[in-house]
Amino acid sequence: MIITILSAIALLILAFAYTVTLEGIARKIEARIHRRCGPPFWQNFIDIFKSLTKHSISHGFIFDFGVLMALGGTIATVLFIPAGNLVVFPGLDNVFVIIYLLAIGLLGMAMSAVGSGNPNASIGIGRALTQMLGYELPFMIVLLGVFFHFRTSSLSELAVLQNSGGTYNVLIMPIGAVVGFVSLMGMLGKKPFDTFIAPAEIASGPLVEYSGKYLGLLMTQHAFGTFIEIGLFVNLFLGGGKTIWEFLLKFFLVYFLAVIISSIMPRFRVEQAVKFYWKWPLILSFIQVVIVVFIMGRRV
Amino acid sequence: MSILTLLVASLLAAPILYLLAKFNTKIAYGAYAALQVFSFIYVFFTGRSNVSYEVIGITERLNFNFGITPTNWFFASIVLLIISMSAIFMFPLKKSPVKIFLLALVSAGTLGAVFSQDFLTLMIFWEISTWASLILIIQDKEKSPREAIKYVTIASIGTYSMLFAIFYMLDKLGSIDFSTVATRIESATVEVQLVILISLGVMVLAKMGVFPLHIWLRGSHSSAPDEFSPILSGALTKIGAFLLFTITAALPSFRIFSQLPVFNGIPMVNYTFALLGGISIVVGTVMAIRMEDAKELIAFSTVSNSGYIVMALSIGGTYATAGGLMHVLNHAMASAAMFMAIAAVAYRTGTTKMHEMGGLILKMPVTFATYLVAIISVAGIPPTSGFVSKWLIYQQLVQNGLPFLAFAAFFGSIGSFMYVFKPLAGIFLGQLKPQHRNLKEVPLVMVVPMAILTLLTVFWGMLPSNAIKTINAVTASVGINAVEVTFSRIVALTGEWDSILVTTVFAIGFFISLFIFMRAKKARQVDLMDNYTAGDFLYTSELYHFSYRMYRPFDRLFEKWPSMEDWLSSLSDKIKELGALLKAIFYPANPQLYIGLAMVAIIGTFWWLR
Repeated sequence: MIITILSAIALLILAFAYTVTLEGIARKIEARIHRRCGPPFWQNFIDIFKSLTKHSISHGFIFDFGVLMALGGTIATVLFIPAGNLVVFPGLDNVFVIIYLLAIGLLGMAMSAVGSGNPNASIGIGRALTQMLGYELPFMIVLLGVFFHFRTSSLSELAVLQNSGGTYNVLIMPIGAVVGFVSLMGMLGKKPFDTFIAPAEIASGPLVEYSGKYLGLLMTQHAFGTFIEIGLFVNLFLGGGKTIWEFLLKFFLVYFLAVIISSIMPRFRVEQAVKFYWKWPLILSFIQVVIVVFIMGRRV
Repeated sequence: MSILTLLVASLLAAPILYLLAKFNTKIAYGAYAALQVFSFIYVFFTGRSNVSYEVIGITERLNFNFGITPTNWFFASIVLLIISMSAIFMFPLKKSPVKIFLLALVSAGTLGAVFSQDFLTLMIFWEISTWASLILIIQDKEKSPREAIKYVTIASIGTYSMLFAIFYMLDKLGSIDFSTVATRIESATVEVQLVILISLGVMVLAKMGVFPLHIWLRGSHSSAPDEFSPILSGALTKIGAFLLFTITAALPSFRIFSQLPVFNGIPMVNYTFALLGGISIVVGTVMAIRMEDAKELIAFSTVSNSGYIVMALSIGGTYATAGGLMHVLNHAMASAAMFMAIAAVAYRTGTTKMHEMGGLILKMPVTFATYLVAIISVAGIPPTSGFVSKWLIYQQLVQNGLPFLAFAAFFGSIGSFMYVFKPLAGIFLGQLKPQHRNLKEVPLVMVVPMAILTLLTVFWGMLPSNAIKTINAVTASVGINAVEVTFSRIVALTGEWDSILVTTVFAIGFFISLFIFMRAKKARQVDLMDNYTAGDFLYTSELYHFSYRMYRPFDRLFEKWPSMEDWLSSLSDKIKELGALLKAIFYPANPQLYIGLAMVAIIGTFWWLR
């Protein structure tokens, strides 16, 4: 019990500190690609803590409640992500549970944003939900193949099985890993799949009405969300890690790849993004899962 | 007292309530609600443990067979729960003697159908409720006769198919009892088995609204009276699930068809039904996303969820059967709650078009909470009961390795976020319309049933083991393995689900954020007009609520897709044209030509028969 609580606290602090640092480094990397200087890498910490102390406006009950639900749901989800050998709930970290728990946060965010009454926010939420139908489908189909092969959907077990088997899923199921990475870009809202944020077009979409502590809480939520999504990918396809450090290194590599790809990309329209996901990633995911189910079979 | 007495009482109640309603509608509606609540409580508490059978003989070969088995009890409890809650809910709405007569008939027919032990009894009582609901649909709205015709056409396809199956069974197997058919069908030839199970399957598809027989749901659910839609979607489509469960589990279609080609452990016939379920998940989801009327939207979500039930029960196996039965329970509660919330909104605002409303959250908080919990359950988000059933179905899809069915299941699950959010945003969030400024929450009589359904959804979400244990008793009675459960955990092939733990963790997360929120400076409250507008000025708040065609980009993707309703209406146009052509040729105005044609026909017939 006490060990669970302590490791939960450790995981939350780790997720927050590491992801926010990486977000800062990502801003630096992106700036260098764009031939700018860029802010210092601790800038995101400054943003979050400063905005938590500032004055803010509220648009009523659902505006507040949605933010709390979003952050609460995301914090709950983080605890189910194994980080190397730091596993809070071994055996219960089922991928379906993680994906649906993450949806609590999404629903809270969506309610709060639409509850602000700004049409830009509603448009952004509409786009986010539409795009979700795009990227989740190929991702889930690939996952079906992974679970079929390993007979488990527990993230920590999947990581252990890959490590003990000697190869990672990225080598066993390379097509699936590619699809998973493309879906990950959509989940993270990185370009070219950032239509629902689209700062120049719909004024940051869902985030348009947030200020002060609301923005601070949502930036924290975003950091946790990033940790969950990349953590999922690392555990599913790169074997997690034997230690925390191995996990964090892989996490950094995946995040770095996503950032450099996104910094040279233009933006899709939302229906183009959905069409894209339903064309190549979906076809590839079906090819992968058919190979897994009918040719490779289950792992012995 | 027995089930038979209850059934006779509720059949007799229909004319009595009608006469009573002629004098005083309020007393009649009150008596109706009391009867329904009583029969729910009676069935729920007495039917649980004892198994009993009752027979009314009509002729030597023809009997009405009723019985209480775990299966009957499970479905009857769900259906009666929904009917009794709707019976309380409808009290403040528009009343009429005809409606109460038909509603009582629907309940009696449903009661008879879910306790039946042979196919003919099932069909007769099912038809009583179908015909009563057919007339009920056309009671309130103007365009409804056309929709009712669609309903009766599709329903009769199912009915004739089932009638054929019954006669065929009598002929080939000599019995129509569930239990006798189950034993005799195994030794019958493959053709007989195929004909019986497929023609019964058509009835399931027609009554549950599964592709390709799904077109009646949109019109009849949306144009039915507001108080009847919860029953139609929550209770009546679930009798289809009862028949499907009987086909796939009680008559063990898996064992029977195992000599036919098998696909990943599933016989071809079952796989086809599962595939039809999958198609209706996708079709229902896409169409629901595109609707602008809240009731039409929920009608299409019913198509999608019926697809889940058909898919799960057709795949069979431990997890999918349990998941399918759990989904029957969840969807009955969630769709009834959703329809009730929309009915409550329509009761106050007089419309079900989403873009004509907005910002009702503070005016109707209980209705909002009901709708919110119901959609969380439909979208399958923990901690509501909707998650458990979807999770169990996924386990089976993973176990059997079924990527194409899984595609449909995932599509419906993720797509449901989109369509359930649309009424939430359109009706309850955003700016309040000026004409709705003085709205109040609906009366207590309407609030109570909504609250009960909401609490039950959360209860079975937090403690799914309670429902799963009951379902295990049902599946055990037909010889399917039980899902392993403890107090808070469900153990399945690929992992475990601990509802209490996840709820606790979510609560902790919520309190962490609440703590940070409370520690920070208090926010200044502003109204919804005080918005970022890129320098523009706002005067008309009602125009600023973005809800009409919220998913326009998604809409654009599917605009050019073939629509089955268009096909069917152009087909009916063609038939009308053909009729007009034949009429023009064969009913000419002058008698000489008419006689000439008749002569030609007679000579032709003579020559042919020569």
